[in-house]
Amino acid sequence: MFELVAGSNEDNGKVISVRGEIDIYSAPDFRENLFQAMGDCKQNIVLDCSELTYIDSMGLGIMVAALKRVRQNGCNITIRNARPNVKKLFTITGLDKVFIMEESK
Amino acid sequence: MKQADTVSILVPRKAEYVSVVRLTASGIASRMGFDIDDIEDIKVSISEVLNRLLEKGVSSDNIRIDFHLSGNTVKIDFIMPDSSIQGIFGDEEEDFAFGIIRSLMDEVNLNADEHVVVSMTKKLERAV
Repeated sequence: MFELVAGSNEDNGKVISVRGEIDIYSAPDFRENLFQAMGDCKQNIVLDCSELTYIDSMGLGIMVAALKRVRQNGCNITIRNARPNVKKLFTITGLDKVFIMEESK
Repeated sequence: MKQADTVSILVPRKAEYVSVVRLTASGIASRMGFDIDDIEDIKVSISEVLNRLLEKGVSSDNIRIDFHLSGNTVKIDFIMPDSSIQGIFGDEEEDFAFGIIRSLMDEVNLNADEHVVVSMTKKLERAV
């Protein structure tokens, strides 16, 4: 249902691609895989959401938990290339002001 | 006046069936002429309600979802046939999920009927 691919490091931080759907069924796996991919949380994280087709509050909650972890080390999470339906959820929840939102790269 | 159609789906109260309900909703909304944005709104709203019903410790093994199709409106009722449940959303003003639903749907009613836990409505806005 979803796939998470930890990619290369770039200037902005470690790139992790999120693909597919994150809902109540896939959320536990997403949490585990995301936290594993983030490692020691001592660098910035870029979540490439260009192939993330669905998310709801379950997935957003996990992203917020991930953000709290990296912020403890003075780092941040960038949400890259979110699709309109995903971006809409960040906007209506105000999370677009909490995460760094980035378009195409 | 054209009679409303109703589509019902009864699913086990298990996380793996939430996507099945989303797919059903997507098909119904698409057939009615909702655009992709509205269909996504409906899918997310449905998931938010089902997430909460799954998280709450209730006795029902199943959840029935009725889609009432009437003209340019779809009304979606979440029914727990063998239990009544109150207050699935905590503080309605503060609740994250409830806030999402209120933003995405045109109307939301809690405990609209004895077994109807949530009732929500989306109207089709046809381009003139």
